[in-house]
Amino acid sequence: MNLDDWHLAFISACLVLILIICSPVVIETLKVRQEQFFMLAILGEEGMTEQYYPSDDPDISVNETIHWTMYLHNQMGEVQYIAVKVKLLNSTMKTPDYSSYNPSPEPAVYEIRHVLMNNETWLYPLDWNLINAELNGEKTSIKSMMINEDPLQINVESINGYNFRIVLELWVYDETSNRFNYGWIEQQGLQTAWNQIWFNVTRPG
Amino acid sequence: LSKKLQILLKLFFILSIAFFTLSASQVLGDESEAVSSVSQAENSLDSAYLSLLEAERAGGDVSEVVKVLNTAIEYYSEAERAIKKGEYDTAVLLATEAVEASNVVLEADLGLIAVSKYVEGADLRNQLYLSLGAVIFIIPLSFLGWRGFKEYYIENIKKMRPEVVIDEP
Repeated sequence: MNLDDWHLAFISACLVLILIICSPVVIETLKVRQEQFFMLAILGEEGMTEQYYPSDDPDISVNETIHWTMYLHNQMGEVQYIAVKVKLLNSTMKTPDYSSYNPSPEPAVYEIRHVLMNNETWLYPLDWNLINAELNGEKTSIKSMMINEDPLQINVESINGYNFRIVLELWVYDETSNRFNYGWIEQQGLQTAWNQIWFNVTRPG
Repeated sequence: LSKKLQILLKLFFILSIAFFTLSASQVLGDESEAVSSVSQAENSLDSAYLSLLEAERAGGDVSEVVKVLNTAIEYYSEAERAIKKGEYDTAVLLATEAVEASNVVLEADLGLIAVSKYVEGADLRNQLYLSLGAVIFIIPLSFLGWRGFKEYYIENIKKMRPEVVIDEP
């Protein structure tokens, strides 16, 4: 190694040393942004994506209690205030729209609000049963139901009691408009999360 | 007798109407008070959440405060359900609990924001000063080190004597 080579090695070593010393300040200033998202799911009786109904039979009776668990995960990088709106629909009622990012226009029968820390998973028990379902000719109407022991008056009908569904929509509190909005804004634009599970009421009481 | 009976009946009729009017206004009054309390609780929750967000962004550990805010949200949700059931007094009580818990969150957040801003600012400042000091120390030291090394290197070169190798045929 001649003197020029030693000179180069010396300068390089100094630069590396300076970089190591300054790295904590650089890391603190340029914090890395993670991918942002929410996860919403409904789990069955055993806390898995199965056994949503007793004996796995989606034909449910009045007063038959269904045990679900709502699964919600926050990966938005900070604490979030959310509302999950529970809606009861039949097969012809509008569900949330993937392309226009609009929620279902039907009113919510039940609402769950919670504040989630970043990277927190929240499991919420969702026990429900029908209190009153009436048969009028071909149509079966659900008149009242109970969610987590709260009685709710509703009126949703379906032909022969087939194809009712429970829809869960995720609404997120928006700090600029100071209200809950359907979905959330991330780097790729507006994102939404909703879930539905179908059931039949072929034995109204 | 019939006149007296008529007067009594009229009196009973007037009293009944007055009683029903009073009862209805009492119920409506209770309902509007409950609705107003729940609406106030909702506003308190919104403010508490926004201050919580600010505290977290300032670098504060908000995990314990989140628990209190979630308790406040539970009170609020129960108050809303109580209104639907017509239990207006219960709704007012629960809404008041929600407001009180939200106020606890607000106060805790204000403290967290102040402490976090001070600690974070101080941490970053200390780190920056430390890094700058180290760099200022390293540059002249390495310059001196290099000069010393260079002199030592040249001295060594000067001390070297060329060896004469005689190649004998």
